[in-house]
Amino acid sequence: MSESPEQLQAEVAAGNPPQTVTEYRREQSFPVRLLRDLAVPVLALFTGLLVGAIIIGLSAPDFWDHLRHGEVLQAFGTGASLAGNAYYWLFKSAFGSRQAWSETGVQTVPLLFVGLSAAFSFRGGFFNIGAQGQFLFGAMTAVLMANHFAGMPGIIHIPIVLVLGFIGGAVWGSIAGILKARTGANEVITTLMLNYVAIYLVNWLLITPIFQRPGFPNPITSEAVPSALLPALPGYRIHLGVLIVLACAIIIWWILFRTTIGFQLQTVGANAAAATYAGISVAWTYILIMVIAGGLAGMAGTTQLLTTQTSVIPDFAGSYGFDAITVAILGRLHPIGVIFAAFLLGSLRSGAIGMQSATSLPYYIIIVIQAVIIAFMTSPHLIRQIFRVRQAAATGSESFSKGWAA
Amino acid sequence: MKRVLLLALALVMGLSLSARATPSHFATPVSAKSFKSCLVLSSTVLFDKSFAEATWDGMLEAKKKLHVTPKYLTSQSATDWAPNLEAAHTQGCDIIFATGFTFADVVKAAAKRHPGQDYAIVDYSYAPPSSVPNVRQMVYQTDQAAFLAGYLAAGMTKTGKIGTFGGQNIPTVTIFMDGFAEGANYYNHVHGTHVQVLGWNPKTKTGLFTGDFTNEAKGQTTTQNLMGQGADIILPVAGSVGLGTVAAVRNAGKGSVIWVDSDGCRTDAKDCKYYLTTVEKIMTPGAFNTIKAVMKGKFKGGSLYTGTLKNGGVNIAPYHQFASKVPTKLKAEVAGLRKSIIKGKLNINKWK
Repeated sequence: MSESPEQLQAEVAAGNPPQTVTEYRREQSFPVRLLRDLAVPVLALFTGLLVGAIIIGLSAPDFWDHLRHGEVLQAFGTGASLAGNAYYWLFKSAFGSRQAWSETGVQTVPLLFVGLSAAFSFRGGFFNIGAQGQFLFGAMTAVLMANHFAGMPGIIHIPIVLVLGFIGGAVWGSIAGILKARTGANEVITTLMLNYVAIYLVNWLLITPIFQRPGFPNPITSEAVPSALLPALPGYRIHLGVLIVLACAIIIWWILFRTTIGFQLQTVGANAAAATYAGISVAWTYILIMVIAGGLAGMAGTTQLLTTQTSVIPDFAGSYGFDAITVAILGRLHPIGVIFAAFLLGSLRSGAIGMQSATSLPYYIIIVIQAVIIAFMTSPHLIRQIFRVRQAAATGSESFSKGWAA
Repeated sequence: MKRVLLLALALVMGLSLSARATPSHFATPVSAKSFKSCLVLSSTVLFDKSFAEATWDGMLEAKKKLHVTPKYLTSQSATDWAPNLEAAHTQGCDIIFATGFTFADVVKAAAKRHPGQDYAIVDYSYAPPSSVPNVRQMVYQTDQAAFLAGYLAAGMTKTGKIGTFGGQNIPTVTIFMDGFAEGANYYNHVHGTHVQVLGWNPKTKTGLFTGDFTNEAKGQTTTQNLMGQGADIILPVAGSVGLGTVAAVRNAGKGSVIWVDSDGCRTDAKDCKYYLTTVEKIMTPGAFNTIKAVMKGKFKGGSLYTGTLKNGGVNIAPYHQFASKVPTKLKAEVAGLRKSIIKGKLNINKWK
C-alpha cells in the first residue's frame, strides 16, 4: 500500500477508512477469498489454453492453404476446428473415463513426489535442482534391494524397498547438503553437476555385473521381482503409489507447519543469518533438508520402478528433475498447492498422450502448449494485468516464495 | 487495444469449442469398422532410416493395400513408453507395434494387463517367446548379410584395411559388426590374405562407437580417423550418423561406404555412387504381414520371427554403380556363400 497521505485522507473523507492488510483480508467471507485466490490460476489456465489454441490453429496445414487462396473464414474455421478437436481429446484423455483418470493418476505420482522434494528444499532456502540424480539413485537402490530380498511376501517386501529407495535418494541428496553445510559450496552448481555425475555413473553401473541383467549385453537392469511391485487396480495402471504420495504430502505439510524442525527450516529459508543468531544450526538444517528432499525424489524413482517401468535403463528419469522445479513453483511451494500443481501437470501429460494418439498433432506442439500454460500460471502479475484482477492480500506463505513464485 | 485482443482471444476459443460440436471434414474420419495399426516410438524420431521408419513403411503399405488406419505415437523420453502403450490400447488400436529392445519390459507388462490386445515387438525376443502369448517377436540375423558384405569388402579393399563403427555397443548394432568382421576373416582364410578389420573385435566385443544415432559430425570425424589408419571401405552401423561417413568419403575423394538397414541407393539416391552395397534388414514386410495376419484373424502371438537370408528378412543390396567395378569372380563367390549360408552349410560364427 503506497498511497500518499493526501489519498489516504481523501479515502477517510469518502468513508473508506484505510485498514491493515490482515484486517482487509479477514473482512472478506471465505467464499469470496477462495474465489479471489482461485481467480488468478484459473484465468492463467484459460489464457494458456487460449494461446495454445492459436498455436494449434496456426499449425494446421489446411489453415495456410485456405489463407493462400484468400479464404479467410475457412482458414480460421479450420484452425478453430483443429484446436477444438485437440482440446476435446486433451480433456477426454485426462478425465473422460475411468481409464483416463487412472492414467492421470499414474502421471501425477512421480510429479508429486519430485514436486514435494523441490518445494521442501526451496522452503529452506536450499535451491536443490538435483532431483534427477536422487530419482536415479532411489531407483537403482530399489531395483538392487527388490531383487536382493526376492521371495518375501509383498506386505513386508514393498515397505522395505520403499524405505531403501528413500535412503538411496537421501544419501545422494545429502552430498550436496553436506557440501553446502561444510564448505558453503553453491548448491545450484553442486546439485546440477551431481545430476551429470549420477546420469553417467548410472549409465556405467548398468553395464557392471551388479546391475546388468544376466545374459544381456544391453545397459538394462533385471526387472524388479513381482512381489515388490505396488499393487494396481486390475486392468488399470493406477496403483498404491497414489495413496503413498498423498500421505507423504500430508507428512511434509505437518513437518513444515507443525514441528520445530519445520519452523527452523523456514527460518533458515527466510534469513539464514538471523536463524544462526537465533541459535538454529544452519548447517544441520541444510543436511536435513537434503536428506528429506533427496529421499522424496528417491521415492519418486522407486515408485516409478515398482509400477510402470520395472527395470532401470539409461533414460529412466526422463525430465522429472526439471519437472520438480515447475511443480514446486506452480504449487507456490506449499505441499497442498503442490498436490494441485502435480495433478494439473499430470492431467496435461495424460491428456497430451491421448491427444497425440487421437489427433496426430506433432508432439512438439503439445510440449509448447504445456509450457505456455505453465508460463502463464507462474506469471500471476501478468494475468492480473490482463484481466485487471486486484492483488489479493499478501499471505505469510507468499513472502517465503517471493522471487520463485509470486 | 487490450479489449480488442481479449475479444479476439475469446472469439477463437468460442469458435474452437463450437467447431467441435459440428463434425467437419478436417477431423480424422474414423468409421466404426476401420482397422487401426499403431506404432509406439522409443523417441520423437519417426524417420530414423531404421526400424521405426521401416515399420511405418509397412503400415503405409497396409494403408494402401488393406485400407488400415496407420498411427504413430512419439515418446519424449522413456517415461512416455508405458503411457503411450496404454493410450494405443485405449484408442482401440487393433495391433500395436513397438520398436527396440528397450521396450521389452513395458510391452510385456502391457500385454499381461490386456491379454486380448495384439502386440508386436521388433528386435527383441522373450525367453521363451511363448511366455508372452499376445506379442509377436521379430528379430533379424543381420550378421548373415553382413558376413557377405565383409567378404565383399575384404575382396574390394585396395589398402588391405576395412573399417566399421557403431552408434552404441548394443547387440542389434554389434551383430552387423560381428558378421562384417567374420566375413573378412573368412575371405582371409579362403584367399590367404591379411585384410584387417578396424573398429570391431568380435572376440572381445569391443570397438569403436559414436555414442548415439544422430550426430553426423561425429560420424565424419570417426570415419576420418578410420581412413587415417588406412581403411578404405567403411560400414557405419549408427543410423543417420552414417551420413557423416558419406561426407568424409566424399571429401576424401576415395573409398566407399557400406550402408545398413535400407538400401542406401534408395533412401539417399544422390550419394549412390559412394555405396558399395547395403546390409539390408528388411522389416517392412514383417510389419505388413503382421497387420495382414491380425486382420485375417491369423495372428499368432507368443511366436518368434527371425529374419534370415533364407526367408528374405535380411539381404545384401545390389551393387548399383559398383556393379562394373566388382570383379566377376568375387561376385560369384559372394553369391555362392549366400547359397551356402541359406542351406546351412557354413557356420559364420566360427570365423570370429
